[in-house]
Amino acid sequence: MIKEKIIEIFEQNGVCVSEEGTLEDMDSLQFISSIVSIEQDFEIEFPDEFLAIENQYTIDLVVATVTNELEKANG
Amino acid sequence: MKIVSPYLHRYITSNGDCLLLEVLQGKFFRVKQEQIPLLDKALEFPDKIDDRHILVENNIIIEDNIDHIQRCDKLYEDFVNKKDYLHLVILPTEDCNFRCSYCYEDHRHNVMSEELMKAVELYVEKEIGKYQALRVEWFGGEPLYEKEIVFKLSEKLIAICKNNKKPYYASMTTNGYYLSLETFRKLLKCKIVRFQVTLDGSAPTHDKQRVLETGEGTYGVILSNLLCIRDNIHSNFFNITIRCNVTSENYMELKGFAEEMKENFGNDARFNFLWKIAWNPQTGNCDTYLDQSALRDVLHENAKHALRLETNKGQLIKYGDICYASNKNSFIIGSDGSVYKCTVAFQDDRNRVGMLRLDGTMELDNQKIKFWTERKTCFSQNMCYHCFLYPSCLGIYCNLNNENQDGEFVCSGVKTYVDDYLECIEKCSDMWKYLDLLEE
Repeated sequence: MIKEKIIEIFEQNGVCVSEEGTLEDMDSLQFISSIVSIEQDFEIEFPDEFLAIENQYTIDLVVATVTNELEKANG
Repeated sequence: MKIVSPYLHRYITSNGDCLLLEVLQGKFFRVKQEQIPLLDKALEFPDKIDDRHILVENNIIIEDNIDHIQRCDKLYEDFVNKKDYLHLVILPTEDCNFRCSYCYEDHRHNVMSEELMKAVELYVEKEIGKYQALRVEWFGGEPLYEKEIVFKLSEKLIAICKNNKKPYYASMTTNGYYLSLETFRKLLKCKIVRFQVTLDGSAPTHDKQRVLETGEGTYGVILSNLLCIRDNIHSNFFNITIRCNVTSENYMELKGFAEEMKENFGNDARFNFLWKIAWNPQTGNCDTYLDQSALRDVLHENAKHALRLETNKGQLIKYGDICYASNKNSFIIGSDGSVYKCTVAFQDDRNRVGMLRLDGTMELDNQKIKFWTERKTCFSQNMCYHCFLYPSCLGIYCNLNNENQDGEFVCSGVKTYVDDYLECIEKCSDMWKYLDLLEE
């Protein structure tokens, strides 16, 4: 469910998600718009280290980060 | 044959390292002091440099296979024809709760009607398919004076973008007085992620220039709001630029203010700084209260306290110093549906370029539009085509100010201060890429 929702958000922002889960030709505007939507929809905040690996984002990485933050929030 | 990039600028910092700014790529490089002789030799004889050299890999030394004039013309054509995003500056009202000493606006009590909000939606619905994204800037007056309009219209525009699979990105210029934590959270939900808030020095000087309609000071409330946001919003995906308008009132007290800002926001990368010499609204032109050379002193204080200068850094890269008004796809929509190009010349007839009708169609005067989007006839190829900063401004940095009284083209002020900006950026930025020439 989390993965499907995240893919939907990226696609709503014009990002093409490949079958392998890579985010193809994503520009900075699409990135910011998508990430802000994900933060709002899941009520989480991406940690500092998420920003440090820019240009290597995949769906699995985003899902893992969101899942981790949700678990932290739920204690 | 290889040459040095025509858009390269070289600067020796106060600590002896060499900074290289390559404007076309928008990249900043650093060479350690002890390697400068190697750099100098490579830049003097670029044609002797191997294709795998680090300076070639980083496009500081390039192949000389493009006609320079053609390259300059192509940069301009690429800019005027680009359709990456539709840019709308929306004024929910021209009214404001402040009466700043230097404000040029007339604070009309207009409020954007429900019918006009619908017209904005219809316009975006019709146009968004032509662009890759929608960028909205909230302006005024004070946009948070009518914050319900911001919330309602944002929701509609975000939905339109979602349905059309286009990213949406928004920013706001606000005096910060109404920027409570609760309001800020709602604005983030509206995907407003960049903010500009003004503090004109510390409390005593700010409260002389930026006061409520009643004359009361505003510094305490604004600072409290900003500190509350700093401490309670943990998202890394917003940015607040703290702008300081420098006048003769606060000019002598900048040191204390810079120290205060360093203490409060220096360690939070989401906050950065912008310094401007304030314009005098009494003269009817763009004269400033202080000579622009005062900016050098301001930047010196900024450098000493290593305050982040993101906005000014952005002016030094490709397209970075071009005014939004020069963009064919940029429009300002006033609260009564008037369409403008520029937010500092609302009284100038050249600036009122059209009207947004209630059916969502935008009527435009194309002759007036051309004043803002095309290069002046006085534009000088001789001056500009050999300037390292050309990709940043393309000669259309501000069509209101780039011609003097004698009809001669005037260079952007950024060039005068580029070394001062580089000294500031060098001290606090992690955007430099070190080039190790000893590996060659």
